[in-house]
Amino acid sequence: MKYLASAAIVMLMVSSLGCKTTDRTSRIAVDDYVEMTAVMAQSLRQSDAFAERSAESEPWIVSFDKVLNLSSEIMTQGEQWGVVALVRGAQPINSLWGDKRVAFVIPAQYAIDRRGTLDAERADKGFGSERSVTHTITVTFRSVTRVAEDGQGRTDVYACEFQMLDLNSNEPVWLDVFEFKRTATGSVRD
Amino acid sequence: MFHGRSPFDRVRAVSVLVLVLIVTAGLGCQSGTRPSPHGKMRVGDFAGARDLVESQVEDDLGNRRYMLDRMQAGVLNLDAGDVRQSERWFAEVYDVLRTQGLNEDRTVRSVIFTEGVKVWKGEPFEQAMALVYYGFVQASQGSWDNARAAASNALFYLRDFEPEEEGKPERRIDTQEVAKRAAEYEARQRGETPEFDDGDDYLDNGYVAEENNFTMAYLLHGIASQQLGRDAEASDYFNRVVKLSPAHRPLVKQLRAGDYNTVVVVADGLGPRKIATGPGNALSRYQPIDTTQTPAKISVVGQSPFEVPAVTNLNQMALDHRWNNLEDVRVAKNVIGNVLIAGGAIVIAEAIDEESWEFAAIGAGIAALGLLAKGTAKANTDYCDVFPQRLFVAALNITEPDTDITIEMPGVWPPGGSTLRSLTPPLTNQAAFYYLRIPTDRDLDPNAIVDVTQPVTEGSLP
Repeated sequence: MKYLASAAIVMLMVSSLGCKTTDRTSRIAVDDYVEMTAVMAQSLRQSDAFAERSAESEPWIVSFDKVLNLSSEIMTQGEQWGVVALVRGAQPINSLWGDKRVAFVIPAQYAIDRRGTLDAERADKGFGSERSVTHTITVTFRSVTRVAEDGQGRTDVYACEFQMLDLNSNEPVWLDVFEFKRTATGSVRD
Repeated sequence: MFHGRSPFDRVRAVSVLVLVLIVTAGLGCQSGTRPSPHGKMRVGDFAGARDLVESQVEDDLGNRRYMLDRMQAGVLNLDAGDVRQSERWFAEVYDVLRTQGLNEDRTVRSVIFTEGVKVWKGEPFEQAMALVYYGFVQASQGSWDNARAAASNALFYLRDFEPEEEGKPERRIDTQEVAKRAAEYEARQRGETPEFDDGDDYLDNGYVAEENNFTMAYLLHGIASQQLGRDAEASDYFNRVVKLSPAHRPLVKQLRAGDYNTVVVVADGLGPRKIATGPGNALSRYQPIDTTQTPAKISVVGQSPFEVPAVTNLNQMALDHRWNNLEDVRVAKNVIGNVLIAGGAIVIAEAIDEESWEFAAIGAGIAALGLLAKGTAKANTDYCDVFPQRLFVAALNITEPDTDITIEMPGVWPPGGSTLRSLTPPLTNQAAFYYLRIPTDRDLDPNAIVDVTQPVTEGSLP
């Protein structure tokens, strides 16, 4: 009997370890973007545009040009560019410089704005002028929302679309869409 | 209980009962009131009203007023012309709105005791209004994509989440259906023949999924979609606006033609107040404060003045979308309370006749339970008291720098009205957005001028 009770307790503990934590919001999380950067770097490496490139290639400077939010999620401009900064600063993306000679930069004006007004006034004329941007990337967020009939659960599927444009040819050289799904439980309206 | 005991025991027992009655009666009382910003708002001192509200903001997420304070601060900052600060408050409001089940562990307490123990998230129409205001904030900064998302969210929170009743015709379409219709529309645009499951009698392009009567949200969504170059989507939302409010046909016609470069939203009056009413004050309802119905008169220097009807009247919205999921519980508690008090009184009366202290004590206990039930049955009347009564929208063409726009309320507002000063044509191909809150004191100096901070029309980002 004693052994049976012990076994039951152990089984209960093990089963509780396997339980998924309950999310209360279906908003995109930083972890989603972190995971996305690894997949994105892989997608870039496997693309036709990057296949021929090596550490000896002529450098590409890719500037994040525009972020468009077509999702149902309100993402302030600060949040939108925060995501861009996160992607740009991620190790898998940075590593593309080492073997593909591709560097990603954020727009000069955005960096100036982030520094504050006084810095912006001092830096406005020169900052970023030494860059010779060869490509731009536009980022578009989309989403689809599904809510349980009784309002007790919500799922959002987000699609983050990246399109890289060659400024010389004005042709897109890479396009990919990364999707993540977030589910939250609990009353939507409380 | 008291029979055969000492007089001291009887006094002690009666004292305990009296204490219980006092405590239970106190449970039904509202928490302490705060100074109202209405006085400052009525004379156009929106910055003063904002400062008053911001000085009392609760920072504990578990506090009932956490979101209410932020919602008020967000509205009043926009009223005062501080768009950036308004955005900070609304971002926090949005965080709370997007957090589900916040009150889940409080539901039992709220049913047994009082609704006041729940974190305030507002009625559906208050949530929707807050999101539309967040949309105004985004549009003021040139973020039409976020204005679109905010309008979409506002419509989402007015959605009926109740399960469909048996026999009730299906009236909602889900996102898959929206996607299907949009895909079919795009197929038609490409010259292909889409396959329809249920006939090709769609009235629109399939973008408008949720149907309610929040015209302001549909209009904001339509304008924002148009500013993003999504004309088919904009058209659907404009269709809905005309359907809801035929008086706005001329405005929609102008918008469809793209004959504007500036959008002005005017907020007038004070929205309805929430009061407790009915048996035992167990019900809540919204009571109008301002009831003005006149249109707004818009005058642009060098152009003919014109009148615009209100797009949204909060008095009406409060009636249409009031959320009352605890009302049944409150009414039941009130009825139970009445029965228990009456029953307790009968038991006490009989106990006195029979000189039985035990029965008297039981009767008092029953009555105390009745008072507890009644005391906690009172409806909670917390509400966002800074929303306007009405919202107006005007689409304008500003072609000259330093253009003044004057807004009057004919028949109500004294001549002179309020002025948006020194507007300039937008620097980009997207329309500029301005918001103006009109003081609500009908006897105010007619020459009062309300200055607003110039919005960021081109955005600070490349």
